[in-house]
Amino acid sequence: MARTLRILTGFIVASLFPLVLNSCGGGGGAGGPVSQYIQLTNGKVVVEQGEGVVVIKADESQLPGVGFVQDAVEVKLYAGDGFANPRTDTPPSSSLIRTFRVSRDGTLLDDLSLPVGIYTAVAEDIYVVQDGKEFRSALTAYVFEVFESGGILRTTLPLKFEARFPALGAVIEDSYVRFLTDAGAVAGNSRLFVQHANGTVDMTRTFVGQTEAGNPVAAVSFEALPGGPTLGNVSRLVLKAFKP
Amino acid sequence: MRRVYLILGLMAHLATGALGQPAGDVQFSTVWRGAEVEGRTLWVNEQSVTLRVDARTQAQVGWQRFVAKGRVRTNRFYTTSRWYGLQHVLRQENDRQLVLSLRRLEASEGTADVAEGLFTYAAPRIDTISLLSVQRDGKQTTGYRLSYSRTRAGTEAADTVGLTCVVLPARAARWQVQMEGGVYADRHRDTTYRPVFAATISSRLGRGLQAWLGVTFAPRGFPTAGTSLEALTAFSLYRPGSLIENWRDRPAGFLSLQITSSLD
Repeated sequence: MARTLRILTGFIVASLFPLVLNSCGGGGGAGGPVSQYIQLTNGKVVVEQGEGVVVIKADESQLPGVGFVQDAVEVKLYAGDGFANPRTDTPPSSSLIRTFRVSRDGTLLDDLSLPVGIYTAVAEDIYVVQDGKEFRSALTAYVFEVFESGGILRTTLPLKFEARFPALGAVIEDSYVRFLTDAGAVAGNSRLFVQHANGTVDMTRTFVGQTEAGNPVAAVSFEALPGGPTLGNVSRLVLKAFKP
Repeated sequence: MRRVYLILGLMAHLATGALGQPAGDVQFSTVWRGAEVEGRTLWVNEQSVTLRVDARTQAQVGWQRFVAKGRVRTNRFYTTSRWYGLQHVLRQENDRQLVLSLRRLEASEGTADVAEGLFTYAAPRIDTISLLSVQRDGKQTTGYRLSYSRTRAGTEAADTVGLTCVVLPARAARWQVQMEGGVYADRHRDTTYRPVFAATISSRLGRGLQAWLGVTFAPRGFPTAGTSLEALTAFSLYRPGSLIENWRDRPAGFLSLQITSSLD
């Protein structure tokens, strides 16, 4: 019994001892959060009108918020919103329309001809490195609409996309996702869902109208709340944009 | 699901053993804890079952539900947890007793439903080992508890060491007062010392029934682990905002009402 007591007391004292030592000088063993971010300013859409379809042009259009370690990455395109519940849903293989290729910076390598409808583009294994800082996402999806307005087909794909993602291990605060899309989306909704090792972020915002270089556009901005948590490995990032 | 069956099996096994024991070997407890501090409110409900395995050993299992509301009443954080405990009297000598306690708390995912969106935080887990030394001196009982808690929450981790003194003055016919004071060293990135004080009065309501009314106050906020709010304060490792962090970083307290029922 006495030996058991000595072992238990030793265990607690051994735990207490580094705690007291670490308090000296205010230093903690775990280290502070990494205050680093990944800045992404990709995302662009250039379209032409086809026969009942909108043609999203290759070499000029670019998927938002992506980056890869290799060229000619295959991205899957599904019909409908494949992430109605972004936490649990995955698009069924039966709704797969086609795959298309993008370069390592997300530039489309194939034209996309789409009729009016809702679509989900899914890219896997996003990996962005900037100045030694890393951002990874196992799955990134963009749910968008092709709609008719004023006799022409338009999309809710970003005309301009800007994001500041926290690097792995950095606190999420001060990060943001902002993008502009066709003015027809004003008063529509956009939803950002991020699932990572420390939890999830689920925000919904309404597109507001503004003018960009003299042209009316719809704008939306997702700003992180003050504080944490730190960003763990991202398993899922879903961005949705719908017209009203 | 396998874990649930394991727990149910363990409980059934312990209950079977307890049936052959003297009175008071199975105890059910319900606790309500509530607070309103600076416009923030907290509501906790806990159910637990304690089984006496033998003369020296007790096993416990409990469930908790937390709801914390902010000054903006639609902003709220909620979580649930379950915990398992084992107490064993290591040494019993006349008026002295040394008790070892092991406890594991497994919280569910925490959800903050606020105006800006819905934010969830990965479920934390807290493992605590503590030693309680109790001495009866005349009619007064004094206890000292040394505890160590390890909190794991997603990619975060924290250590908490607590030293608490518990005093039970002479007992009246129906009433018993208990006073408690302690300090917790809380380490997550840096180390903070947080005192916690509590006073409880208990009364026998009838056969096998007892009620406890208590107040707990933490002038520098509650530590990450080691107190009855640990299933909530563990989420502060994520820095999830004032809904949770104020309970750890600002003066806070709560009232509690506990009803226990012992089966013959």
